[in-house]
Amino acid sequence: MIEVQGVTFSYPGTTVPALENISLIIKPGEFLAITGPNGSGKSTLARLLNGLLRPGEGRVLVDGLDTGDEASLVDIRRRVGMVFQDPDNQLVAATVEDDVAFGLENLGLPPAEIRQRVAAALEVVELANLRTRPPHRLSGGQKQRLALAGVLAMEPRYLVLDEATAMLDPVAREEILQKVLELRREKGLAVILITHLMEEAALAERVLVLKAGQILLAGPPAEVMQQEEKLAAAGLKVPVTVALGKGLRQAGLKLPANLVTVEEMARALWKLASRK
Amino acid sequence: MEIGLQEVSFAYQVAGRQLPVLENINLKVSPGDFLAITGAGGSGKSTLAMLMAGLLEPTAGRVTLDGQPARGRGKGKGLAPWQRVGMVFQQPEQQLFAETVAEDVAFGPRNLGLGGARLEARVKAALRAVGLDPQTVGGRSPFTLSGGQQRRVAIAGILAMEPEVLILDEPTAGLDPAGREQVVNVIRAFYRRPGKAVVLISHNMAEVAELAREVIVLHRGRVALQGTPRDIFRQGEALRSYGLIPPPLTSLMQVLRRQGAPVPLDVLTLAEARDAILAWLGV
Amino acid sequence: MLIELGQYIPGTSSIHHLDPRSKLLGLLLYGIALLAAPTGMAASLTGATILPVIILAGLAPAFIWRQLRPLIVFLLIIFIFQVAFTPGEVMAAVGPVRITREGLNYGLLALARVFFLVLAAAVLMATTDPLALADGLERLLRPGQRLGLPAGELALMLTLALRFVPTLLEEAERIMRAQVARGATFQGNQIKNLMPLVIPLFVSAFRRAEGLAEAMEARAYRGGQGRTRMRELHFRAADYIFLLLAGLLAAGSAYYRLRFGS
Repeated sequence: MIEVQGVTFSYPGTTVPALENISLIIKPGEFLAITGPNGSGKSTLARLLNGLLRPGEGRVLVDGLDTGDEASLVDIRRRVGMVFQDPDNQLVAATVEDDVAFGLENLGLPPAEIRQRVAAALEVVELANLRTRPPHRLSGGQKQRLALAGVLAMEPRYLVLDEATAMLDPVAREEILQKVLELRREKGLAVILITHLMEEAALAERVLVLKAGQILLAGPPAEVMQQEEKLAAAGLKVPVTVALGKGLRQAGLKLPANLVTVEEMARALWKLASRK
Repeated sequence: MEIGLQEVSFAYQVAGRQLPVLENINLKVSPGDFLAITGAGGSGKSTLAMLMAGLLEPTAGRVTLDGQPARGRGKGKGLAPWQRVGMVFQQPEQQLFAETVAEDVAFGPRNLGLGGARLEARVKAALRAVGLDPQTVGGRSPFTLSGGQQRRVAIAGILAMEPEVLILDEPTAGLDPAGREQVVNVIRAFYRRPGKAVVLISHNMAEVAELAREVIVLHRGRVALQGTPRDIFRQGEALRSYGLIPPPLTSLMQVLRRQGAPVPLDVLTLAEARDAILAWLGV
Repeated sequence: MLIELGQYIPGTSSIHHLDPRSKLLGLLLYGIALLAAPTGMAASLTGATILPVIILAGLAPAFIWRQLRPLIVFLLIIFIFQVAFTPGEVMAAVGPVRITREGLNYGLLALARVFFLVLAAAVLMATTDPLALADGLERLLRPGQRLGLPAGELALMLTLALRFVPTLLEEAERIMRAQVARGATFQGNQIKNLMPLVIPLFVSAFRRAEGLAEAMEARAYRGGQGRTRMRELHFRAADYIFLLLAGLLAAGSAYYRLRFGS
């Protein structure tokens, strides 16, 4: 469990806090989306979860370990894995396999175990055949899968994706998301997805909307997406299916208001069609 | 200004081997056109954009400007006609370098030989065109702006050269919804002016549906599909085989259709989708 | 832009298979032998012991030539300088320039030292994966850690350089094209003309460094202490033989200098 308790954070040299009095609990195995416009504090919140940033006020506990406690940081970072937005800035080694090994080497694991975990992680992200390739000769999607492998090899319990799909084309984006959701199902990994795409946020169990450092909305996607005005005021757009549902209801269709994904919408429409 | 590509191929030379990127591309962009080029990563979109902007020369075939064969840009190789073709690269904010926003925007037109009051007028107009106030933003360092603002400054730097054809490579990638909308509005406003043409490189099919008049789908360096957005979206499931993901409305129509509903696949807007569903349900 | 010097040519020769540490130590011993050699002739003979290594490594003469070509002018300047400005027994005079026996000797000595040392370094880099080289260097410097030498950090810096040079080159090309699209020519030799390329590259490198530091920290990096390495290095029989030969060469050269040298 990750507990964020009354956290306020300001960057040095600024007067307005980037986050103000945030409290939040992330359960093991949960799928949480954190969304909001640029500058709303989503990435700051992500960096507080693994101790890259320490709260000015309040505290963050990861499975009971305080991120303010220097001695716990390695353990916290093993538990909370993070994939960043820019693929080029998070790959550190000159070959694919050496990059996956980097985190394990930092943990001080024996070489034999490192090799075995690296092989397993590359298998999971389907990069085993590119083991010896230099990262700069991978596509954007492959680079992000490699970054994911480097984190997975450390066997985290929580996976934070900080706009990890923002620079990818839609196919690569879908591949990464599918892979992450598959891992969540198989290993019970909690997923914390930071995104400004509402279509992506709608896939989560719970959505947190940030605006100017504060929690604007929180709840299941179907509830959050109903707040069209509030979202628009925060510079966010509801998924197009939600907008379509609204249009159809105004035209007289008796559609429920909690339709978010394409599949849900199709199912509801067929229900109406079969009633005729 | 009309850009023409005739039987254009392009290959990179790597360690003595030829790596083909584009093969036998034929296309034409005339004033009033809005062409979208789409395709999966690695399909050759960006290379095609650079060929159309004279920043690469084809290994076979020819590129023409107003019907005249044109070599690439560069030292004395006929820069003049290419001045009328503007190219906005991916993440163009990375090319900002000057001390002030106004100086950066002035870089292009100054290279064209402009100066004095005319230059100043160009810079101001370009900044206004991207929705930035020359008075408040012009004197600031570009590096103090937000990501979305930096991108618009970079686009202003191209607009200030007053191109007739504007080529943009993934201009909205990585922006949040508000930033995206601002950039889309800039592109729209440019296109509305008489005699202008836009070439948009994008993997975002919703954006393509929203903006383009004509679409080319590249697949492994060849033209796989060509037509209006409606023609393209009518292909349904075939789009996925070219590594494209249809926008949500098209996906919805595809799902309904697969299950037997007589709805069209080529809906482009929310209103069209709503009307199509209402028609199917007989409301 | 192709920098040929220091290029790695993957292969399976016995030289390729040597432990990177033995190759690094071998280079050190070879360098000592070259420096110890007292005369031009001795240095040339010492240097020539690299030939069997080149043959064993299966490196093509054309490859070797390309590695050394950029050096030729520099070597000639050293040679001519030594020949022309060393006083001693005059063998010939060209105008005001006197060529002396000592001059020829020192010229040859300087030439042989630089030439063979660069050649040996090129052979080392051609037969050793850069990553293995960084690992070997780290392992060799490890005893120095107690004296405060950051061996792990140095090796990491080396791998980061290997990782990011291609990325930054790609970026330089892209930014150059983007500025050409804005009418830049990059002509003339004024620094000012390069600013549209240099500043964005600098900004980007800085931004990358920040992102990289953050990503490394997120993956539990906290300096070289307590790190293990995936790649293990093993000395084999061939390594001991190779080091023995290199040691003999250095010792022999030093003995010769003490016995006969000036």
